[in-house]
Parts: sequence; structure tokens; C-alpha cells
Amino acid sequence: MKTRIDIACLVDDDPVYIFATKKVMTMANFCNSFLVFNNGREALDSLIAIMQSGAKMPDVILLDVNMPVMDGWQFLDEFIKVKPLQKTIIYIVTSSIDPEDIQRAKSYSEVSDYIVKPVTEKTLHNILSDFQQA
Amino acid sequence: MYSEIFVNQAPNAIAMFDTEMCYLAASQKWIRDYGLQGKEIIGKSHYEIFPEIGEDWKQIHRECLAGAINQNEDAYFLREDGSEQWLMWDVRPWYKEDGKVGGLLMYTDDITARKKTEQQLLLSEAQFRGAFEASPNGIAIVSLQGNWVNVNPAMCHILGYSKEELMQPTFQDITHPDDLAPDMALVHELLEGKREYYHLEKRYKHKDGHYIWALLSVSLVKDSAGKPKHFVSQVTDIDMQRLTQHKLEQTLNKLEGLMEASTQVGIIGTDTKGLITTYNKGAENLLGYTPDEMLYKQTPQIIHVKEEVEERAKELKAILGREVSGFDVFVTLPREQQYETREWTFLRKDGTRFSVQLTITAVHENGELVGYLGIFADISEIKRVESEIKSLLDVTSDQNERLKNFAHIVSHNLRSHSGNITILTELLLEEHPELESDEVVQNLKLSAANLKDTIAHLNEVVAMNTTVTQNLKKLHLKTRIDTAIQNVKAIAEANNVVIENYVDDSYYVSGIEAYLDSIVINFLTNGIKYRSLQRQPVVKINATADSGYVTISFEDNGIGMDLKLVKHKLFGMYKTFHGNADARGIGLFITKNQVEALGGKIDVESTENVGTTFKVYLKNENTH
Repeated sequence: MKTRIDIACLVDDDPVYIFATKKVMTMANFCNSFLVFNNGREALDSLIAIMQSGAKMPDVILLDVNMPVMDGWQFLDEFIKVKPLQKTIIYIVTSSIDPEDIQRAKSYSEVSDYIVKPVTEKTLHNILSDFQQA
Repeated sequence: MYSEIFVNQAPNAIAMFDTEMCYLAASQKWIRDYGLQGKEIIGKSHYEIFPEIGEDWKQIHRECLAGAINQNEDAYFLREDGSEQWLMWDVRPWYKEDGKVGGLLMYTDDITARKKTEQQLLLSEAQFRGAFEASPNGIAIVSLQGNWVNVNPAMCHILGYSKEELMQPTFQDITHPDDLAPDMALVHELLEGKREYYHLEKRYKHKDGHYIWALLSVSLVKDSAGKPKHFVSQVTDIDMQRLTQHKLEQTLNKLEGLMEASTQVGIIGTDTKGLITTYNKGAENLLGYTPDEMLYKQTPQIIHVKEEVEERAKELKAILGREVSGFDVFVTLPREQQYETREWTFLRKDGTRFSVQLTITAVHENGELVGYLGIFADISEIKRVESEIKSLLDVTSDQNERLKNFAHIVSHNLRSHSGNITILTELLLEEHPELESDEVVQNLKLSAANLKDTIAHLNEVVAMNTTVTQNLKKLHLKTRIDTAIQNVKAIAEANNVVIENYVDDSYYVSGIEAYLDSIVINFLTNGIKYRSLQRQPVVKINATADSGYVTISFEDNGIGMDLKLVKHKLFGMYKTFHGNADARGIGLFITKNQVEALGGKIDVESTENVGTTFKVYLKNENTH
């Protein structure tokens, strides 16, 4: 049986997605706790604060691309600059199957994979095995 | 005595002597020839009258008195004064009734004039022969009937025949049919004495069969009585000249035709200073000025808009770094780079304006600038259409943009919602397993799945490129079909459908693997879906090829369709015809688009309850 991860972070502006994904994560026994942010700005500010306070950073970030205020790409660019000490695995999770988006995601070495919504239990199990190998 | 009268009045120089060489009679001509007018000679001795007669002649006379005859046809004498004289004579005895010699008959004639003429004739004949043989012009003696009497080497050379060959046909035979009539007419005029000679440019048929242009000069040679004897024809090969001239004429005609016939293209020529020297019909039509108003009176500045010319002058100053003004605004660049094409606004005589495209060319003659030629066309209509096209293009690109946005909405937003619904339905069932039997929930689940599929299909449509020619590869048809068969193997077996691949190993088509696989899979699943339950379902795949296309046929023995009813919408989006549970109308739509993107086409034949055959034409790669 796979060990679950500690903190999973969801960055998405779609409450239905958040609701459903949290439920799937719970059922899949994916993590101990969630951090949820509704856009990139919110996520960035909070994560920087967490980092500076020395608190535990999330192990995995599931990052949406299309969001108001600050989108996924902008978040990535800023987050990379901060250079967090702890290793955080980032997944792009989006409905977009635009090849341009997929290509762009691949251009970031910090991005582990590109996941097309919806996030299912199977997706989460794959992430868990990646995580354990890492 | 009659004989005396006879001698006296004979037309020749005759004298009659007795045995003592005394004159018995002498003709008037004798007296004239020897300068004896007014002298009494009858009865006197010949030697007394001509004391210079030498012994040699006296000897001859004695011999003749003894019965001999002395004749000379042409004796040559060089006189003391250097003049030449030819004489002929006949000295013979005459006999009395008793048969005895009565004396001598002497006949002489001065043939100097005749001899000189003869000599001249010989000389001129030799000269003629030399000229005839050596002349670079063809010379022929032609009989009155048109037969060759003699031809010179040049004539043979011009016409390509040997002398023997050329003597066979008449000149009519080797004359171009169109030139025969005028030639014959002139021949008749010669014969009728209406003219002494004629010149004619005509075409002769060369031995090779092609016609050559020649200048023919013919004169009629008459005999001394003025009767026509034969023609002397001189032929000069002017083929090159004539060809050049012909071309020049053609070009000139064309140019003139162009100038005058082009009623919608203006042509204005000027001298180096800008004075208009050429002004065609088109220019007149377009500008409203008559040639009389323009020629040698105006420069093209009258039809230009002043502000535009000033604007151009500024541009030229910037380009060339020097002031350019007046007529030079138009011709500076043409002078330096041979020609210049620009759009201008022209002013008509009535003051209205129109757009033209004007090309100005510098005209040189023998390397020297002699003027300029401006050719212009009214492009108002083109301008109008251009702006129309541009606005259409704007609309199209606007629509394209909206379509892209739509694609984006489909791709992203719709998918998000659909994904949510799918996952929520699954969560609902997981939390409340008892709802699995609830019909509403079952339908909800089905709808969620269908929505997901629909969006996936729409995405395929949106993502599909209409042209993919740059990515086309040479694909081995049989391998691709075998791969596709493997792909559908599970559902084929589940439905007890036999798939038979008869495609020859040698065929290659032009395509993209993903497209070709998708096309084949689609037809195979179609064949499986629409199988007949009344017989063993079979799908057969065949291929034939011609130089352009490989035709792949997918033949099933399924339920078929009534093409009269459905053919027009068969390949439309979201059309299904069978009420079949998993009928997916998008399939044929996508397949058709994929085939077309590969540069191919689809055809279909079907009979209800017998089966359907789809034919896919893809570009044959074997021939490439």
C-alpha cells in the first residue's frame, strides 16, 4: 500500500473542481491535509509567507492554468524565483488539451507532469507512485 | 552586152577582165570600194590602175587565166596606217563559147565590219559565260514555254538542286502557288511588249520543301527580227532579308495594333524633354484629351496632380540626395534603372481623377536616350475590389478569431464543466451505491459520458488542420491496415465479425500515420457496428492503384443504407442513420475531413440489407 503524502495544495478558481477533487483525494487516501487557493496570487503570497515562517510547505501542488488575477504560468514564474528550500512537486492540472499549453508545461523543469481534468483516483495513485520514487 | 550590164549592176564588187587583165566591166560597188569613181577604167589594164599590185598576185592571175580558181574567205591585212582589214575574194577564169579562157572574173568583199562584229560577239559571249558561271546571283535562261534552257551554279545553289535536277521542273513547278499568278501576269506583259523587264519578290520552293524568298529580275531576249527568243531570269536570294523584314513588319504591325487597339491602356511617348510625341487611343479614352490637344504641345505634367508630384519630388530627394523637379520627377528613376512602375492619380480633361498604374520606360536608340514611354492603366476598379477584398478579409479573420475563441471555450471551459459532472456523478455513486439502480442517476451518468465524448469529438474537429501537405509521409498501406485491425480486434471478436485484409503488399500511400490509422479504424468499426444479424458479418479490405491514387475499399455485408435518403448528409457532422445505440455521426465527418486533408476523397455505395462499400482514394506514393 502506498504511503500518502502530507500536504497537497490545490490552486484553482473552480469551486466544483475543488470540491470534487478534495473528495476524490480523501477517498484515495491521498494526503493528510489540503491547502486550497483560488488563484495564483493568493497561492504565491501564502506560500511565500509559509516559507518565510519556516512552516511545512506542501509536498505537491496541483496548479490550474486559467485563473483570474494571476494565472498558472505567472505563478510558476514567480514561484521559481523564490527558490523554496523544500522540494515541492508541481503538476499542471487543466482542462486545456491545447498542444501549445502542453508544450509550455514541458518547458518548465519544475513541472513534473501535465494532467488533464478531471482528476480521478487513478491520477492520484500515479502521483503517489511518482512521489515515492522521487 | 547583157553580161556587162549584169556585172555593172551587181550588188557586190565584181570586175571582169580579158586575158590581158584589162577591164571589160566593173560593178558600181567595185568602183566605190576601190575609189575609182570618175576614172575611165574600161579597156585599161588592172596593173596600170593599181601599180602597187605585186608579183605574187600577178602570178595568181596568170594561174587563174590558165584555168585555176583562187578563193579566200577571210584574208587579213594590216595597212600601212595601222588599220585592219579583212577581205574575201574569188578569182576565176571565164570561158568563151569556144571553151577557151576569155579572161578573169574577180569578186571581192570587204568583210572587216562583219569580222569585227564577229570578234566582238565571241568576246562578249566569253564574258557572258564567265559572268553566268561565276555570278553570285542565280541566272537562268528560260524558254518562252517556261522550261529551263540553262541555269548557272548560283541558281542551283539557291534552290538546292543539281543542274540536272533543276532542268526537270518548270519554273512554275517550283514557284509558291500564291506567287505564280503575279509572276505569270508579268511574263505576259513582257511577251506583249508592254515592258522590257520586271522585278518581283517571290518564293521558290527549295529542294528541301521549304520556301525561300528571292528577288527575281526577268528580261526578254529578242532575236534580230524583234521576235521573243527566251527569258533571262536573275534570282537573288533575299530570304534572310525578307525574313528580317517580315519580322520587322510584324513587330511594327503588332506595336501599331497595340497602340491603337488598346482602348483601355494609355500609351504616351515623350522626347527627352517631356514633350508628348505619342498619344494613343487608350490615352485619349482615359484622359479625355484628343491627340491634337496633346501631341507636340503638352508634357505629361498636365495629367498629373501637382501635390502628388511634389510629394514624389520630396521622396526622390530623400532617396537620391539631390533636388528633382518638373518632368524629371517622372523620368529620373526610369533613366537610371530602365523603368519604374508606380501608382499615380491622373487628372482627366474634365477635372475628375482616377488611379492608374504607370510604367515609364526610358527609350534608347543605338544606345542613346531618345525619349520615354509611359504606359498606364486605370486601376480604380482594382483598387475598389482590393478594398472590398480587404474588408472581406477583415471579416473573415474576425470570424476566424471568434472561431478560435470558440475552440478555446470548447477545449477548456466546456471540458472543465463536463469533467466536474463526470467526477461528481462518480462520487455520488460511490457514496450512495444504492442509487446505481436509480434510472435518473443512470441517465445522468450516461449524459455525463456522452457530453464528455461530444466535447472530445468537437476538439478533434477544431484541432484538425485542413491542409497537412507539409507533413505527408510515404506509408506502407498493408502495415497500417494490419495495425488498425489489431486495434479493433477485441470488438470484432466480441461481435463475431471477420475482417479480411486483401491489400497487396506493394502499395504505398501519401499520408500521416495517425490520420490513416484513424480512417481505417473508423471504417472497420463502422463495418462492425452496422453488421447484419442475419448472416456471418464480414468486412473485406481491398486496394487497387492507378498512377494517381490508391483506392482502398471497405466492403461489408451489413445492414446497408438507402443512399437516396442519406447520401447528402452521410458525411455531415452528427448524422446517424441507424438508430444504433452507439452510432456516432461524428465519425464519418472526421474521416472525410482527414481523407481530404491527405489530398484524397471518399466514395460510398450501399444497398439496404446487402451491405456498404466505402472507397477511399489516397495519393499513390509508388509513382513518386
